Amino acid sequence: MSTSTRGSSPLAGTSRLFHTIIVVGASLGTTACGIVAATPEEASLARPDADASPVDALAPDAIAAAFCDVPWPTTKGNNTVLTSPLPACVNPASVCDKAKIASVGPCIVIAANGCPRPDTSETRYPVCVGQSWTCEPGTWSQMVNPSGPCRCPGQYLGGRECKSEGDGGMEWLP
Amino acid sequence: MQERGRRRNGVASVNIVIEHGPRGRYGGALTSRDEPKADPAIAMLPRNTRDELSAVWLVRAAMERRVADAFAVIHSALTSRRANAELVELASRAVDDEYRHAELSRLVASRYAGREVSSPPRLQLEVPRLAGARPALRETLHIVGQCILNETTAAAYLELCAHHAEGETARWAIRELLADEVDHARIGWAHVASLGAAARNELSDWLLPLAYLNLRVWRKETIDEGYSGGALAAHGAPAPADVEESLLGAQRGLICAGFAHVGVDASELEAWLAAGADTATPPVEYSRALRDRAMSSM
Repeated sequence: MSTSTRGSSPLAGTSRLFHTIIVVGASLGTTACGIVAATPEEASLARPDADASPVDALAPDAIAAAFCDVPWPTTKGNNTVLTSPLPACVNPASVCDKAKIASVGPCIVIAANGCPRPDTSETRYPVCVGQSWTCEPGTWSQMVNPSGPCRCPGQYLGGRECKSEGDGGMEWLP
Repeated sequence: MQERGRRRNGVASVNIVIEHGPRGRYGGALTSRDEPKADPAIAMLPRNTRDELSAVWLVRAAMERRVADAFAVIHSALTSRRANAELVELASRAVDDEYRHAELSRLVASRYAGREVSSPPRLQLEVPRLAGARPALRETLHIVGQCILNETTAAAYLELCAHHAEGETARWAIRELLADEVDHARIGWAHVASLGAAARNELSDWLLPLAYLNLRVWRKETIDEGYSGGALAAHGAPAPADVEESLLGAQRGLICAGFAHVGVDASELEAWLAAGADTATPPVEYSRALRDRAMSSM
């Protein structure tokens, strides 16, 4: 029910809008702008005896899919709820480090004589290579079967998960 | 050019993003006419109504900004379709128009709030995939979807808003917005009118799904189930029943009639509208292409 003090909606203005938008707009297309030259592709479609193309054969499925597409978002509205954008998706280092260590263990630096130096504090964190945690060259882990995948989701916001391969990332999974 | 401003407002800091530039419609000015110096109608509103209206206009600011992204896509599509330079230029200017609309709407939101409010967060644009359409057709359908369906509907919606608006600030803003939306809609009608007969015929099968999705999203975004009535319509937020009438009026009296005017068969769309334009489920039964396929598979 209308709550306005000005009566019903201005459908009487439709004919004015029709002229202002459509009649004037269409005239821009056919006079001031001239007719756009048809592309060869369009020209072939214009032939009444043109062979049906594979695109034509797919048309019903394409139309069916179009009913389930997204629309162009409206230019006006009241109902969208504004939420602050998600922050940059960066995994807190501590979260990823825990995942790395649990998968591979610390990577121990290999000394010049080829032996690991477990007594040093120079341990390194594994890195993600080929979707698996692995030790960088020159380092070694005693865990012989490091297994990937090396995602380590560290942030969960608004029901979304930060996608990361260990070094942070920018993508939020839905 | 993007310019970010941070202004102090009392103790609070607000972040204002201004993106329109000197190459725009008014040479960098926000509007064609100056903002009303005072609006006693706002001052008379209760606080909660002012807050509600401020929220409405801030949502609009976010939506307008997203439409700038949409027009960047349209500009690209028109360029790719080798549309007339005049239309390409109009689409380029439309991007700046929408930047102005975003700031104008934020300004109005600030007037209702009684303080400067920050620019809203960006809304992400998701472009319709139209996966089954070949690229050239997809570009044309994008122009149809954004300019013809969206902007023509927007013009009708703003006419409704203007009809009910009494507050000087709201009337000023709506008039400014409406003038531009008319231009944006014309881009689509001009482009379709410029197409050859074969290209126009090719559009027909797609109009129903595009219009269905468009009307569904307009209903979702503009028909407020919790509408509190009162003074909202007088300040640019019309009542749900009026919005529904306006949306259907635009589909029938402008969009369908417009397609007839430019020689595009919209009979599927007309039949669906005549049956009430239910948007609860996709109206596939009105699609000739789908009906023919179903018949041939029997």
